[in-house]
Amino acid sequence: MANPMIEAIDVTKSFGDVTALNGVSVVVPEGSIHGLLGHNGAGKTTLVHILSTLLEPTTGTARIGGLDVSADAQEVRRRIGLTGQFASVDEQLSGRENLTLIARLLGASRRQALARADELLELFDLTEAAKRPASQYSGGMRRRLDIGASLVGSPQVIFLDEPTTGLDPTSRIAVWEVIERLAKDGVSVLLTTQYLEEADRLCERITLLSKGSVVAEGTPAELKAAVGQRMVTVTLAAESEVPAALRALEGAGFRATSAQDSSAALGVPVAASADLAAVVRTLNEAHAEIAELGFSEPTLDDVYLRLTHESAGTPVPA
Amino acid sequence: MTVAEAEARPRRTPPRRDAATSQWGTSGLFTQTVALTGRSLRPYMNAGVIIVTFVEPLVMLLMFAGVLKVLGEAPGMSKEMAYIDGLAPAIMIITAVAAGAQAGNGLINDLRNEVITRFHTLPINRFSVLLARSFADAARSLYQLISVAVLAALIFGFAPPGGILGVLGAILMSLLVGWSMSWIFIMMAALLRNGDVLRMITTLLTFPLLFASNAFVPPESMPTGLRVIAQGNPISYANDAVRSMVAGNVTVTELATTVAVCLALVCVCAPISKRSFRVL
Repeated sequence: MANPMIEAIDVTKSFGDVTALNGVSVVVPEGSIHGLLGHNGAGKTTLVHILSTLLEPTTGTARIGGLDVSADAQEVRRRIGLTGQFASVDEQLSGRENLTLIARLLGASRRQALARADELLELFDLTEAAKRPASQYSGGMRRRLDIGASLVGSPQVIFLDEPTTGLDPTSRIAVWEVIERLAKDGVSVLLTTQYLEEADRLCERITLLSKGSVVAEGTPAELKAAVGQRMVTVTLAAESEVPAALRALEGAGFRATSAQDSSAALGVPVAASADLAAVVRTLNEAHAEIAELGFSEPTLDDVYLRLTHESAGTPVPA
Repeated sequence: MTVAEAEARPRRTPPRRDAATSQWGTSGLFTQTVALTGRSLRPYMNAGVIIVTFVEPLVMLLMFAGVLKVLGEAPGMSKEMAYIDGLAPAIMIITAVAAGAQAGNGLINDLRNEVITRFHTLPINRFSVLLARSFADAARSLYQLISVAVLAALIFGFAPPGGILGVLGAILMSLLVGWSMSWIFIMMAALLRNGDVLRMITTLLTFPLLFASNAFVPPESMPTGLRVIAQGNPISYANDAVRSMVAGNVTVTELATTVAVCLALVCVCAPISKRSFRVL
């Protein structure tokens, strides 16, 4: 694994009687996109706030690039950018002024600040709106400006707290492309999301949080494999062929089931997509004519629902 | 990262901490405060606000001049002084203290603004955010104090014995009083973090301070209880000092005491504000 850039080790955070985080560990290697997935109140934002030096952990360790977020807070702040859940741009300032202000605070001269601002405005397709006050920006523009503002100091680590919540699909894709580009350039990204599609598309690894605890961790593929079954669904041409087909499949080592509604549909759980060919071959050899063939992958939704329900102690919906 | 490594990489967008950004030094408290004061001033920089800010002292001048004329007595002043020479300094102090109280509200608004959250993730001195808040409201106060002097001169022929220098001194002294008092309100905003409670306390605090004083009525004519309060009220001393300023007979002791009390106030409130200032 590349150098760990973001490390939370057994982090606990309590607010009075409420435990927001309960022994959470997350490690993000350099240049990787890591997703924090969970319901509202799962503790995603609290973890981001701890890692971005806004809150101190009650117990446990949080480090950015090896630096402790409590002991070396100011050094950590030189390395991070945070795009919070609510756009943190100054509405009274123009897009350009928002960016130059941050650059000035980070030590740029006036000229350097303007150059950096224009560079980012260009990158985020905001050049035309540069002089307009941010209050006149659309949601998508504001989000882009917000992410731009967190990149002014060219940080090594970016935190994005629900970066696409409330955006229309086009803006969402534009933000995704920005995030992918960042990771390609070696920036380590920790993003929180409620959108499984987003986590699936962007994240190399995902930590699933529920009620302040980690309920699962892994690549999107691993999580899906852990929960759901890949399934070949077959509809035969005639219902009469079903018993023979089931016998043939059983002989080939598959545990196929026929549909309850006594139609000609069969479900065949398989381990890998390569088994699809074996299922088809077996049915051909048994002279069962296939009318319809399908293959279903478990989605992250399955993972999400199952694991968060399990951790909540409620029965898992079928 | 070495040059070779940087060159070996494909063109990167957006550039990471490379030649361009690593040349940036670190900004100091001064740069940060200047940049943030500009930001805090922005809401005051529109035509509507500028006009209202100018009219506020005008309304106060006309109102109190009218009310006090009925009483037929120059407030808290010796008979030989012009009536407006006693009134204008009192209005100056009221204006400056009101602007100082506004700094507390300003900080509460800032706390609701997520921009402040971003500032807290930057490697800056957080005290600059508070300094900027106090300076922005001091700048607004300066503008109002100048308008008090100008309007008093234009409408009431305010031309005190202290002359231009006396008036300038009065403006600066009021500014100092208002600015130092703004730290009380910044401190309370940082501690309370609740706009409604802050506004209640602000009203509770400013009204007795401003009006149970020698601003409009000489304490000698007050009932005993109120008189004791008015005579001990620090605002009465501020009024006296500013009145001496416009009268051109301010003493070194008076000047030194005012400055010392103001600075002492800042020295107590600013560190507490700094320590309690957080966003979460």
